[in-house]
Amino acid sequence: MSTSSDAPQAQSGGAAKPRQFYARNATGLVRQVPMLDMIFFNANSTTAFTGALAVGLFVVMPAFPRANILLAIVLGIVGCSFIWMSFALLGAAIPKVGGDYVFNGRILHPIFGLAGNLGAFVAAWLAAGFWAISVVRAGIAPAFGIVGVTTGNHWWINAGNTLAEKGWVFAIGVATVAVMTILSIVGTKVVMRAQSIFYLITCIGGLLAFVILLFTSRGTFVSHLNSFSRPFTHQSDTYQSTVNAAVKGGLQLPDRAGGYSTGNTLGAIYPIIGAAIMWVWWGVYLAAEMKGGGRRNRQLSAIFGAGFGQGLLVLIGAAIFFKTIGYDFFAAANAGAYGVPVGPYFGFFAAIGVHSNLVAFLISFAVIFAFPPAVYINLAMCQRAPFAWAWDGLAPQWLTRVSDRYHTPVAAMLVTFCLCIATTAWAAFSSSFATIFTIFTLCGFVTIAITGLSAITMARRHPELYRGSAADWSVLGVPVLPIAGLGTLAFTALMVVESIRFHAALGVSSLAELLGPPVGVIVVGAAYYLGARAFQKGRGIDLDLAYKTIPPD
Amino acid sequence: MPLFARRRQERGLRLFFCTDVHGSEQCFRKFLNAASFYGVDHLVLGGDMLGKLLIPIVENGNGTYYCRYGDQRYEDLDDAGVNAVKDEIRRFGHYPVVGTPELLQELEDEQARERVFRKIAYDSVVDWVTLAEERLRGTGVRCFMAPGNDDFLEIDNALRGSDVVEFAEGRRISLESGHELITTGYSNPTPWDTERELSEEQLAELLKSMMGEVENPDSLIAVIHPPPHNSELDSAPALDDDLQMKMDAGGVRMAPVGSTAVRKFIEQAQPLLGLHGHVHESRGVVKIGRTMCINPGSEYTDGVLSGSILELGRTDVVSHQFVAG
Repeated sequence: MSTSSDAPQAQSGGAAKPRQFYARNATGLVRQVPMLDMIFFNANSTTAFTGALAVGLFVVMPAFPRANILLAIVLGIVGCSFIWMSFALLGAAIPKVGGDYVFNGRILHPIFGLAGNLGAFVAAWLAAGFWAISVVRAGIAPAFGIVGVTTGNHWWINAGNTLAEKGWVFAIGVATVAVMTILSIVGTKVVMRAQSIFYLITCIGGLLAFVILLFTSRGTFVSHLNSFSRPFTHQSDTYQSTVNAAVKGGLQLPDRAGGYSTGNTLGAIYPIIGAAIMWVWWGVYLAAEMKGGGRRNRQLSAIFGAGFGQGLLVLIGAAIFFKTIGYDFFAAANAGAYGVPVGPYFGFFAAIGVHSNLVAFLISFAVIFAFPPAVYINLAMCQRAPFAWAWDGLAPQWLTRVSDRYHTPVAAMLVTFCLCIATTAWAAFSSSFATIFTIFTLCGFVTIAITGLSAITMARRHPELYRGSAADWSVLGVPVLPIAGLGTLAFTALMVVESIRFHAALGVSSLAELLGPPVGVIVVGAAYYLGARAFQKGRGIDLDLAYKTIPPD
Repeated sequence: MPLFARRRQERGLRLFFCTDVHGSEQCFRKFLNAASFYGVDHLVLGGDMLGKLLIPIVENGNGTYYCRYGDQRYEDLDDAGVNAVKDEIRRFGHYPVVGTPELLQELEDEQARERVFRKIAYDSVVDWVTLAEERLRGTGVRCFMAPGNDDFLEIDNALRGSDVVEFAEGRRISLESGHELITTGYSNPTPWDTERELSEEQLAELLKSMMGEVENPDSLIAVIHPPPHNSELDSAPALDDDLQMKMDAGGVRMAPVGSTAVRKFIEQAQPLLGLHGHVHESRGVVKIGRTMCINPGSEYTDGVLSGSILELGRTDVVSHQFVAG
């Protein structure tokens, strides 16, 4: 009996045309859960575009002066397409809880599967804490500050400052993790629905800012900005003086230093796409929970829909900012040269564009909703990874327990909650967390690179898995999967090289510090697997068998 | 598979159990190869062998054919192309049926469709038995097969009479290791009113009568297609009258669909091992008293053979391991 179905859809043909299939009276053959939630889930990884713009540009503009941000985004979308394709096809071919752990472990070797997954796990674990504190640091506190500054009400400013204190950051971060965990336990549908609603709210706020800034001329914006800023800066042309101050402080601008820098443009790709679109394949971790997760078209739609959609929104948003606010001022403000006690957030600038306190409130508070889904998608990965490991015998079996009532992996979820409280505390109270987080996100490249290898070698190493699977797809006679794998490896190599070249700009002091964690997860993954295998062998269990495919012939 | 347990003892009986292959040629072929691949003494296929769909391959009238299957659209197939598509369809558990549009139109008639289904399904089981004989004869591996609730009654005839495949339905079978095996593919009622369903009372009677032949429950392996009710091995989406999944705020509403008769049987008889299937998405292992109950789940739609490798002592389960080969 099966109550799920991957049966082909019926053909709606004329009366004389045979149907696509004929079913008999057997168990199963029921409808599927819609795919829309999966698209929102993927779009939220790592955060919605508003969060990506708020955090990504804030980091990128001062760290990569003279970078052509728009070109960097376009190149990032092109490069990420290979990654998305590899994950979509492999995820559809082997749609299991655990995502890359399962398909890399089966296609390459369990050590690669575990090491790659461990890299993603560590990155997700730290990211859950990072986005949890971002609820306050990039969401609530700036929103209060913007409303306070635009309305002139000091209560909002003081409240924002109070909430930005470490204790509040931690408390609200933990509350966010707790709420998303509870929603996860209650049901995947519940938490998916919540994250979809949050995503739509933050999108509406972001799109409102886009529309306002799109229809605001540069002259109007500058005039409004100068008028608004005068009580704070005591200057008649705050716009120009901000740019001048930044340049004097060492900021290089394209107009004044020989145009855009190709090197810095390449360097800017990773930080901006890393915050926006690089991880939209995250849904493969839930592929087995999504009906139709084994269909190529559905995986492609879910991943590319989220990637292109979010990528285009980030691109359009950045283009509008530069059109109305101006690249020079935006870069100078992000470099800290703007003399008004509020961050250079796009919601703030949009509010200035229309001189509206209500708009300031709506847009600023809408940004907050970008972060709880970002917490959730990382929790989801951390919850599924040990669940999948436990099925194969790499972790205690009780982690496979699924709630009878909610049908969710409750034990793994509670363990993840405890782990993420620790990272939230670390993120809230430690000044070194941001650097460590940046370094460990590079562990994600291990996952991506290993997946690229799987994509290249699947057809040759495991023809029985490849042939006839969702990954077995050719366009104009050219097999897509190995091409996607090669592109994935090439793009990953470029990102690693750029990260090494710009490690100082990313806040990393040495190459050893930068490369240690990615190498470390491979070593730890290998050591853990070999240890577990030896342990299980003593009990009569051959762990390798869990990853092997029986030849059918 | 528990991570922490006692150290390995002397090698016991090793068997591989899987279920619900639902016509998948790929899964069945893997099943036959599992004995050598996993190094086991016996193979047990727990039921629901037959596929559920007929896939038309339609003649265009000019010697070529077309077929839509899953995401794929096959046009202008020649004979070699038809054979390749047939293999593809069989691989995932469906049955190809080749004909003109007019001939295939007859399948709109329910009785005609039923006749075609039964014929194709029977022939497929005959082919499988033949293949099993080719691959396993002389290996010393005992291969036990039984139907499930979804399987037509007439396939029993195809399974009987082989010197390699042992038809296990409704029988007590003694193993050289001293273990006993009883098997049934009958299930409690389902919303689909399938071929082999019994009321809970009838199922309890059947199990009781089978138990009457057992000499030592301590070493009994009970292969019973439906899992025990409310055992974590029987959690499936609840369905409404139109066989649509019931949804609530938490998503798909889940409900225990196992058999109360099987639950009572396990609780009272306390066999060494309960091997179940029926609910594909409820893979797992639980202990009910001393009995270890296992549902390895099914992933036949992906061509993956989900199963469990078991090593049994005389009266205990030494180890078990879920695999998806």
